[in-house]
Amino acid sequence: MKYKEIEKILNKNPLSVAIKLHTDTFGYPPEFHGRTRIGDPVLAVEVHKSIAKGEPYDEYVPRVQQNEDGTTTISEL
Amino acid sequence: MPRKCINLESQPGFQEIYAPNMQRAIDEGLSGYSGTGVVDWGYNQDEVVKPPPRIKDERTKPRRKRKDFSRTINESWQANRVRRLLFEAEETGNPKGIFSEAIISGLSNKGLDFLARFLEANPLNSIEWHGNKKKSSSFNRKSQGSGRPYKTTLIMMRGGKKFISLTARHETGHFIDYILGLMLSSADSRNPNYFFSDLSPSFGKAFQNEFDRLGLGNKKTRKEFIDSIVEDLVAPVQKLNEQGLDLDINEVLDEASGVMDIVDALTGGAWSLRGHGGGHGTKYYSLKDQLAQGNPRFHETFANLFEAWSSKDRKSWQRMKKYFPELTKEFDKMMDVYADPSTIFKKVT
Repeated sequence: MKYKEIEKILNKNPLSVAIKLHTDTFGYPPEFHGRTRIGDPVLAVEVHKSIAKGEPYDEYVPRVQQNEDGTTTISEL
Repeated sequence: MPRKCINLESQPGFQEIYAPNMQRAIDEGLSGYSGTGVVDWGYNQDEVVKPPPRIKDERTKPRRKRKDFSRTINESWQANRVRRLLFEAEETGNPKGIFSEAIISGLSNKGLDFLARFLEANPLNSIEWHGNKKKSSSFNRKSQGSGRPYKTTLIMMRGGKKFISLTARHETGHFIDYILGLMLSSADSRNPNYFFSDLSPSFGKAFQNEFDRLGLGNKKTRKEFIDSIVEDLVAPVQKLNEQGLDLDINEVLDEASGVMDIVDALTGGAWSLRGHGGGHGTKYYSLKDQLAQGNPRFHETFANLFEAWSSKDRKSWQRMKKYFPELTKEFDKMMDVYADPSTIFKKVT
């Protein structure tokens, strides 16, 4: 089984469909914040909701955040 | 089984024994046999049938027995030790103890032993659960002013049990990477944002060796390598599905998410660019802030190696070894020391 055939299968998963639709609509893929699951149907719904609102999906949050109390929080995802 | 006879009354501390039922049973058992048949307990049992009154004292006050600490059938004592240590962390957004159950369910015995010894020396501060589908799980460290150690927090997104267990090991991997870094050198003497994986020259070398060995600097060989991994994982599942089974390919890829994540880290996001989900993405792996914040590619690789190494599923480490021999060799070398039960971790937090 060649990768091209596998890709046809992967392209059918909910997240692949949502990513493709997002790319077709806005010209670039959605920006995820952190680790995602292959084919994640829950995330796919969020991307679809964003497309329906006419807003690109971009949940990017910087790894370093300044807190109100003057401290800093750094994240690894 | 050989039996040994001892002179009970001459044993140290014998006179302090107070267990009326047991003492009576011994007395009754001995009566009519050789010797006097009477044990000198140091007092007349008939006079002390009732237990002495308890004196209320804060120091001797029994602690409330926690249901959460009871061991389940076939559970090792290390598992219960990890549960007890994680119970010390503040846990919000879910009933206390959910995180420990999630991580214990997926850890091997060596993983449990390692984590218990590790947490004993360097406890985790807090665990925060959330249900925001747009917000990922993460390991956070928050500065608390100069000279004070960072506050460590695991942020966990609620979800399916199996995936949570995987994520719990992954985020704990980041925590371990961070603390091991502090063990290598004090945060005051270098950039406090660096992890063990940033500071260890041999880990960086293994990462580079793997990159070179797989030819990931070349676009064509990079594509071929990623294709070959997916083919390896998906083709057998598809074959079984053609024979009438209904297996979910995404679930199979979920099992190997650590492998795909390392591919993503090694290639700076090449897997996530394929648009099927999985991995962290190109923005996350951008190295523009590497000097200030450490190398996210190293951090993710370490966390995924720990996730597989500590897994109850032995195949997950075998899979890692197959695809990343240089990285797993280096990790095994490190764990030969840290996973040795006689190793005592330095307290650095």
